Amino acid sequence: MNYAVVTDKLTKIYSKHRAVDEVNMHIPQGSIYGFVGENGSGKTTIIRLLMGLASPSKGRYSLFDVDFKSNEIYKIRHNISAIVEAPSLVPTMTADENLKYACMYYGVKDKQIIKDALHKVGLEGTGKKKVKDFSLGMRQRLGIAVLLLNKPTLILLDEPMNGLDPTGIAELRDLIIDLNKQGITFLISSHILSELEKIATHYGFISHGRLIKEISTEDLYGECQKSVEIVYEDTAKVEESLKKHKIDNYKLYPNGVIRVFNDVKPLDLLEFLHKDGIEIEQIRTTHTNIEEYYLDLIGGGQNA
Amino acid sequence: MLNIFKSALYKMFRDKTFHVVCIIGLVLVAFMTFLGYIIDQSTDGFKYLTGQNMLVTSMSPVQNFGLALPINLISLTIGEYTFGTFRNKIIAGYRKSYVYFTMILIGSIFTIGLITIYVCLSTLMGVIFGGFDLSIPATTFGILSGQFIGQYILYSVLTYLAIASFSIFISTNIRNHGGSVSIVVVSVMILYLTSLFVRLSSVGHFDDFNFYQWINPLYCYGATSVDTIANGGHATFNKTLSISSVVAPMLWIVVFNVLGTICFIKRDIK
Repeated sequence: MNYAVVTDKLTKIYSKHRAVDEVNMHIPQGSIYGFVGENGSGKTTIIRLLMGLASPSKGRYSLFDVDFKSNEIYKIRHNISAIVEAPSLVPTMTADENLKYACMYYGVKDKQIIKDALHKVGLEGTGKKKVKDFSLGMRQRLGIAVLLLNKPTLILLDEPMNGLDPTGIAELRDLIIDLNKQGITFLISSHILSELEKIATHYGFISHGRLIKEISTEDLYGECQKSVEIVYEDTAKVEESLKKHKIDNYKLYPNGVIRVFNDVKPLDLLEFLHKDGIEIEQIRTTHTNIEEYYLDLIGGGQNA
Repeated sequence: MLNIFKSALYKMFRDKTFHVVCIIGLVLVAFMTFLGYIIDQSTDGFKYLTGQNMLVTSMSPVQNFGLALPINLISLTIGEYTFGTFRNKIIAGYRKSYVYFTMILIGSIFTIGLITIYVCLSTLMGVIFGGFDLSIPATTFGILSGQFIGQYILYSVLTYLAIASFSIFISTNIRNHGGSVSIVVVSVMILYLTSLFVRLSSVGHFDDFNFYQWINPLYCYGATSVDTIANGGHATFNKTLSISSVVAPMLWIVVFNVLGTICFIKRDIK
């Protein structure tokens, strides 16, 4: 498999704090890599390291098989775009001027590309407006328009859904899918896991600077446990019945929801609960979602 | 490299800081002309508003517009961090050394370009109202010669470049507008005042303080002011002062640009 990004024991230490701790990351070319982690887990630091904004304390990385210490890396980076934390725009300049400015340092001479980029992000007609008068969502879109100017092969987006309304999120999602179909690889860090779930082809789960797991979406769904979800007011009674039938892999949720993970058939479950005098209000088969999977992975209780 | 330079130039001309400093310059030209006119009207036997006097006073790095320039250059540099444009250029694949070098070039163009326009406008106003007139003593420097003016312009250009290098170095390391402005302005004032003091105290014992003129880029301003009085109102640059007025600013330009580039490369960019 060809990789857009490979890191080998990538480490960044600030004073005594290990912000990134021996991360071995593999982003396949053509993938949409969902980068999931809690606040301060090291997602942004890794993006900053990959973009040359910060230097690794230890370890190495390569972009499209070019080592970060090679002189070739600057040529490779010329076709990589990124939004780190927030789009870097000059607020006193208009949208057109910001794009023209970016075209200049990218060495892009085709003026049509500015109109095309604005059109792609749904900002046509706002070219003459100063960026300081843009809403947060519009700035985010303009930031993405800037990313498209150099015809990138890899785009790194740090929390790109921030500040976008539901329509904006849907449009951005469609744009990412569209660009990915054209061969652009994406690394997207996001807290909105439900959105990542709709587009990611691969995942990297990070916590406290360490990459806990890398997995393809296909394998993730395989790993997401099937469960039978039942709803009954008296959860203690259900627990008692489950223990009686030697079923110990279950979880209690609020409002009388119980999930049973053992490979048990819903009808069998209904039958023995009925025999124990428990009349179930609702029962359905379900899968663990990405958020639950992540919380289980990091030990639960943390906000993703 | 050319692309990054062209883009930085494009941004500079559209930057609010640039527009503000242009307005400050025009207001100062008008104000200084008006002030000169009032002085000339209210005094006998003294003329302030002449081309040569306006030229030397407007060019001084320790007076009005000369002090406004590094302050605005700091704003321009800090803006690169605030707006994330340093970050953009590095993400676009430019070496940090190129990015810093471009900032030095832009800072130099910003400083020299604006001071040239300011001096030309000020001198023009002086010529319109009082002619160029080398026979009339200039404030601080007394009677001027063509050679003195030529040397003065050369040393001033070098001093401005030295202050620009220092300002960029400080602002890229401090990354805070208020802190950087304070350090640069206070440093310029201290360098000027100490040069006056050292030159005054060294009259007759010059060798004791010889080293200072080789490390202080503003030494020639304090020294010529003192020398003018000592020489009975005729401003001159002696041979040693002529050489040190080139060496000291060059030393600053080299030291702060090299040091600044190294620090910029070593540091993480926010």
